[in-house]
Amino acid sequence: MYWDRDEKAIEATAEKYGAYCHSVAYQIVNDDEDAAECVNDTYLKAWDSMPPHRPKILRTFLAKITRNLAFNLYKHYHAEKRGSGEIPLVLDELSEVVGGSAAGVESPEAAYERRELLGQIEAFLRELPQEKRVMFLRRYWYADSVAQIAKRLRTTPNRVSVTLARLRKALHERLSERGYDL
Amino acid sequence: MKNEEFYEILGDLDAELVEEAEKTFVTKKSVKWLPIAVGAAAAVLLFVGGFFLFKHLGGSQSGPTLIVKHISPQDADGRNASQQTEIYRVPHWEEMEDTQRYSVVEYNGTEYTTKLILVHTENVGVKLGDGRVSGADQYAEQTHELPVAIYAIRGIAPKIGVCIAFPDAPDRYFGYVSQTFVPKDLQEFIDTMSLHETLTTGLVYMHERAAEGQVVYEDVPTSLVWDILFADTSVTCETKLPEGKKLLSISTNVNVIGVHNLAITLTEDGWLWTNVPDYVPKAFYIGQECVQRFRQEVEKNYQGYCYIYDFVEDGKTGAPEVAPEDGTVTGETVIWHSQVE
Repeated sequence: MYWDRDEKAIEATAEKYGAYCHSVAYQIVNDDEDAAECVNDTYLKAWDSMPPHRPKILRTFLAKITRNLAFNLYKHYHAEKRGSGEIPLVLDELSEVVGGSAAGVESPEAAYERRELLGQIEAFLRELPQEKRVMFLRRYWYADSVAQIAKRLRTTPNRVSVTLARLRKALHERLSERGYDL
Repeated sequence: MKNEEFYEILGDLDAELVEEAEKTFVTKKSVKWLPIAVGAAAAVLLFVGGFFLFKHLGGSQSGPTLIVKHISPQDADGRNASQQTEIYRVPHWEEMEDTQRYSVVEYNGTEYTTKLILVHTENVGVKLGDGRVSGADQYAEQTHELPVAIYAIRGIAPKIGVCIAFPDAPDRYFGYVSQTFVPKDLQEFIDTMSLHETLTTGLVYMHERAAEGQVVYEDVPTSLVWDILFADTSVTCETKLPEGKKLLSISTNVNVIGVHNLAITLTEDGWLWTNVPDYVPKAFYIGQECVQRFRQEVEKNYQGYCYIYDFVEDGKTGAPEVAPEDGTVTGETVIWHSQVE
């Protein structure tokens, strides 16, 4: 329907993926109204980008848009000392993977390096057992709490916590070995 | 690089990885209620509606007419659907017993993780040696270790799973399973878990017929798996997931090591893959002929149902995680009530 520019596309998207996108946004902004705003903006962005973009998996494509919008909103609030939830914890944990050096100016080289880095992370994740890979994605993509991940995977929060700590360490070592100055 | 920038980069991870993380879900308490739900729901079958519905929808189905089953936990055991959404609080270290604190065991260079089961005393084998358990205090951000005795589990090769007894409860044995074991072939896969004695299977889910709803076959005997799918045990094991379309999944249990409701899945290009006994995928090429023969036997000889779930648990509808079917439970699921507020 997006490709036919059928205006019912947004309505159909909201019906099918609205709850999912809302949960993605809520994990980041920790507020229902803000999450709803992100989801509405997601539909508009999706409308603007299809065509020409043809996503491999529509649901994930929408969730990526939602995640970006929600994180931008989080950063806006965070600058104003607002916001709570899992994101501060998630970012704090990711400090163990990256050192915190100043970000460079975005340039073609930087964009290329970013894609290369993404490829290294994906290769690292694909080598993991599925359960550990899912734990990593649930924590650092979906911003799920440790308890939510434990419940999803029918294990203990303690084990999730231990596994995530090991994964952060292993990823840091992998990227350092590959020459990334994090 | 700042952690915020890294977080944004992670947002561009491949869609398939993100989708896998969304689809992977282990139903926690389905062991307790789903068989009851199925039994009770039988009382409210919509035979007439189901018949006409699937005469309409099932024009292309290859098996006999499906029967509609409504699955409702309220009908089954009086639980309110809202109880499916539980809020968990991670307990403090001092609030937990050792069994909750320590989720990982290292022994002889292998890492085992807890399966949250008590191993019955009669299934505890010889003492293998000493190892260490580890766990994390999330609030204090400290890792703790404890020396423990490691025991074998009868019928289970130590490279698959072991059990341990904590110093404060020496007569209770908890099962742990390796996260890294990969057999060289199907024969080793069978032998290391004594599957001839320990394997049970349950419902068969026809993914290929998703357009008709969730098509499920009940009462398919485990012997059919042995006769057709496990007939040639010399096929080698691959750890990469097959890319072919999934045709069906069989609910699979090895109760002695706490494996409940994992899956044996068949693909259209002739692969059998499974996540038993953990989440490491193991794929065996058994051939398209075997896959199609199994499917045809099921559809020809057993009654198919269309499950309609009158509830949703965390966005999922139950498949393919279902309960042990035969009642020969030799392990006990441990539910950490202390984690639930």
